[in-house]
Amino acid sequence: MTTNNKQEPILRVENLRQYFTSGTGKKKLVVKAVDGITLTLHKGETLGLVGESGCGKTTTGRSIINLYDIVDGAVYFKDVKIAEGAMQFEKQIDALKEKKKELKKAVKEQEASTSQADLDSFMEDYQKQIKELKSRIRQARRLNAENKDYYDKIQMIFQDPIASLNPRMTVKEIIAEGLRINGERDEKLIRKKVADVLEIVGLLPEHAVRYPHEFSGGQRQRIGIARALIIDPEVLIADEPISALDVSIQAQVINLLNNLKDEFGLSVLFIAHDLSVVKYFSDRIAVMYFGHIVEMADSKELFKNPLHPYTRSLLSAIPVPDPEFERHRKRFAYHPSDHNYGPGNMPEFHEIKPGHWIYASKQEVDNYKKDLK
Amino acid sequence: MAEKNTIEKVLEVKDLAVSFKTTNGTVKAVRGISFDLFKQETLAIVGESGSGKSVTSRAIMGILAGNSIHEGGEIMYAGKDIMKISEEDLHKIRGTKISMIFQDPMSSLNPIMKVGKQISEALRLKMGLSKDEATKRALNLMKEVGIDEAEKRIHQYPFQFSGGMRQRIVIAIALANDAEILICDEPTTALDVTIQAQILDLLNRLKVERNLSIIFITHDLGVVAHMADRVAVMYAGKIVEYGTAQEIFYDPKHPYTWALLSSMPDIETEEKLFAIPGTPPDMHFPPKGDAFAARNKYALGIDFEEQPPMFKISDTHYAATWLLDERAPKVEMPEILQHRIERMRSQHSIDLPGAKGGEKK
Repeated sequence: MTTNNKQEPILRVENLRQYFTSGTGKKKLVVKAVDGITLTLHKGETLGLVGESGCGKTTTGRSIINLYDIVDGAVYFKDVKIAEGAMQFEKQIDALKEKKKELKKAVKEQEASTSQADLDSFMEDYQKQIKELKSRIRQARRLNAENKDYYDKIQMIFQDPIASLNPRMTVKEIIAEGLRINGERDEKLIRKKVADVLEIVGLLPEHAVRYPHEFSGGQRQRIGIARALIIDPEVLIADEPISALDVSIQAQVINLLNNLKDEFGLSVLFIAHDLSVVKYFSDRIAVMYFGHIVEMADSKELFKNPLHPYTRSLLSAIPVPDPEFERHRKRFAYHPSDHNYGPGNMPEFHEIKPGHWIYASKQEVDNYKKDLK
Repeated sequence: MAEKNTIEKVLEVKDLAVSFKTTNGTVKAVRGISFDLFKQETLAIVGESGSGKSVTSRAIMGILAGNSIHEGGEIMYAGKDIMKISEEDLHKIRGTKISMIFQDPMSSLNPIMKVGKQISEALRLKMGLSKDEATKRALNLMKEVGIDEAEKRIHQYPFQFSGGMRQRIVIAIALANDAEILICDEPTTALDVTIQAQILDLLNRLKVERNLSIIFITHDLGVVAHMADRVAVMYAGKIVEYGTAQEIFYDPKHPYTWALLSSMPDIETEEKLFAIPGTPPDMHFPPKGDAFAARNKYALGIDFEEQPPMFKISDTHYAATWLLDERAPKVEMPEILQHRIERMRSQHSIDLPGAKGGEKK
């Protein structure tokens, strides 16, 4: 595994939020799929993102490559802000409007503490601020279109190799699509690049004229990887790239990804639910639970010193291919209600030890520090 | 585990072979497999998709697809051959004596029927219980499989349950008529690890409480280690290795078992993984000789010519590979696996099969 000494951040996600809404009025339902996560991916590093289904790990990946417009927070690629959510500004506008209402009400009811002069001076400022915030929102919405070029450097591999390949396109068309979208028209060059990238992922040049259904699951996943590689990405987001594959094929794909990572110096955000694979593949691991990263640390550190109760329960549930071990193991159950969070005792993301982050309240952090070896 | 032999045999599969007629010819899905199932044991059948493990279990349930051909062999249950008896007789066994649960609990349940009714339906049809009695039994079953507030939840629909809870309902239905044999076809593949652990523990508890025999089909070796008393490894329609869980995990003999064990990392693995090259064979045309030979770096010349017989390693441990023949060259299992087994040995102080200085190939 590569060392983290370089520590050059390539992708930074700050306070990312992704909400999905359905219905309107009274039936309106807001699902907070990702609720404020912060993480940094360094150059040449693999960051594993684990959690149960529905915890928001896939949404995180999709938000980063802008398959969804992010609701709040920001994504930086090499210190360039490539996406920003507008919710923070909208909230500020709401707060200002609220304040205006209050002031107007107070003036109307002729309370002693406020006078018409106060309101006038506020209104002057108010218009300016609203204008400013509205322009920030417009800016945020424009941001990812302006930074389209940076998105070429971030590519994604999807979980289901059947659903993610268009059955009516040949392999060559699928792989070359990214080049064509970027304006490449030189057929010879395209053909050469497709052949090269097919070779890199372990397929043959003659496979280029075939259709996806002619391939097995593992080969299809290779096509998906080839498609991601053809425009020379620097960051690869791999969303459960092996969970749809057969056991004997999974190892082939893991080894391929490992080779590619070393060969091209890729930084990988590896999203998965299988902890043993994530441990094997990642330098650092972030554990997600219900839209939050609850713990993030070096992968060895996380397995040695799991602090958050959810991480512990997850680690205690990994099936191990060792019958004697399985016979005597104890499992922990995680109860979110044990946390006892409330006003004045709200959880935050703390760095409890260099490189080891945990989502906990102040009081809990003190307790965890005692457990720390 | 030698005393297992004296324990009652509940199911015996002998030389079972099943094919399917398709537009492209016949697919030989299961090609002559034999195994026994004893009282209160879990037999795990491991293999990748297409190895014939699901077909085997469907044959035992008598729910093979219409285009299947029974090529030979028998499945003996209570003195009768399940492959030969009439549909009417099979009806008396299926669901009452032998039950099955599937991978996706949502598709096993009727989405527009309350779960309580789905459980009591099984009781009323098979046991002829009255409505009240059946509902009472259903309530008890729901409590037994660990559903809280069963009185309230009995009136809910499947969509109101989480994946793990749905699988618990399916287990309750399968066990409603006090089945003797429970076939689990990848019951936890669709579930999260923490939920998976709960369902596995539930199955283990029920096995003891209800004196069940379980056939557990999966491709996850970690799950096998947790569940199985004995393991059968299947590849291309054949059982290639067969033994107790300890023998399979600490002293595997077949190259395919080696490959399976070393192709997945465990939490301590750092070495490069041992990937099995290629893909499983096309079962329209099963290869001559050992089906795994083409993907096996340890394959001998004879592997491509002749089917290896089952070599006996111990009373409970058999493997079909020419490497066990006395004329075969001595080969070692992949390094990554050697390391892992050594590590496991050093962690457990008890005697494990195939310890150093034990039998050699």
